Amino acid sequence: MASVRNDFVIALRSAFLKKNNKQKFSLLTLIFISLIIISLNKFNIKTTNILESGLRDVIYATSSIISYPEKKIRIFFTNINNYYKNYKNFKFDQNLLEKFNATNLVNEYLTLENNRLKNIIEESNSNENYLLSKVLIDKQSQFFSSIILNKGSKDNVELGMAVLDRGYLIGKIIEINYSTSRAILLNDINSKIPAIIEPIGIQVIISGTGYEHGIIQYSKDNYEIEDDLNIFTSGGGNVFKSGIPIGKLKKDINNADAKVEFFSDFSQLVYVNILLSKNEL
Amino acid sequence: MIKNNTLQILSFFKFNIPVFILFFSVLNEFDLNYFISTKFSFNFIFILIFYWHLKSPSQLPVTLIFFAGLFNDVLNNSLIGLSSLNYLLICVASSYIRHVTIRPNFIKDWIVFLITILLINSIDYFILFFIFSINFTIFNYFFNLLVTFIFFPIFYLLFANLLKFINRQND
Repeated sequence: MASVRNDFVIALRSAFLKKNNKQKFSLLTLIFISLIIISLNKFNIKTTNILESGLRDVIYATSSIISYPEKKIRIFFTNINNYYKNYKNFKFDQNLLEKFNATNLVNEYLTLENNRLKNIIEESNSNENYLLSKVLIDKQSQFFSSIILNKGSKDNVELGMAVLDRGYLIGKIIEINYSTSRAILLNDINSKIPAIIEPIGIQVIISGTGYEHGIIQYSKDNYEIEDDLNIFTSGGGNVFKSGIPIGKLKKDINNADAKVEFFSDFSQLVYVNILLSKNEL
Repeated sequence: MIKNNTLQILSFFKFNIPVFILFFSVLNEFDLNYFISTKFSFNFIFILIFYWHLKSPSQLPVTLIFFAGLFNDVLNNSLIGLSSLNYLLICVASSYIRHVTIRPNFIKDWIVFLITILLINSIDYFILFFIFSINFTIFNYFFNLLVTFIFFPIFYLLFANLLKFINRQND
């Protein structure tokens, strides 16, 4: 019995402490270093943060270079797929275009009228300033959904700024380095966005699920779930400016709750816009 | 002379194939640690480290594994040091098995791998949820773990062939 225990201890000690020929650190040493690094996450030390920010920039750049061929292959297949889809939609879109041209004239008239009325009540129009940014790395799984952008603190990017794809909200900036930044996407499980369902005007909180869609996590009032209701940012909590389109409400067949289908496809992001003005207050 | 140098460089690359696979899978945008799709995923790096540290530890040094873990955390925006800890714990388990095993047995390796990833995921859950209060879906974690366990034999076989190929070239 004692010899079995001794064998176990010897094997365990050997596993932890034995070093190979060119190995400088034992497993135990490295495990201790890992634990120290993990515990450093709890404290906000300035020197560590600067070092970490520099390290992040280098790793993002390396990852971006290594991912380049794979990105090109993915874009190639996406393009082929899109070509067939686009051709199918072309005829349908032609008819729609004619209708939209007519509607556009009405919209132009309404915009002009709106501006004129705003001038009358002396409400200033916010000057929106967008910063075009390239998506360096696209990290998406059910555990996290974020993108790394090639604009950082040197381009005046700040925490909490909205990130848009073709005018649709896709996320917000959560980490800034000197030349890069990270944006959390709307489908991330930790993303919570105050929004409004139009035209019924119900204020809600949209939360990510880790999958392609989002859910309505909280709503102040009960409401009838209807398909295709549009969801916009409400401007609540001064997180984002109001009126940025987010997605459409859809009934979930498997669930009593509604799900939110985002307007933007987060797997196809190449260039995005960062809204430099954080919020119109 | 030039031929000798070329052979040496080739031999170096062949010997370090596991290291290249490890860093490629960590740094690549297409997550090899959360493979395939967002709904169906498994942790390729766990299998890679377990196998190579069990069968040929000199080809996958622990210091590089430690750095791979740090890179993975930075890219995945998770707690810095957590992946390193996970990977090193896999190394401990595989080292232990290597020391106590006289006759290598696939089934034994497979079961030890399951116990190891269960332990690692429990530690992850404890650190993330109880210490850092980070929210995540436990079901996805468990599903990822299960699929990793199921996929282990396929990669075990692939890596065994790769190891044979590397050894044959080095001989």
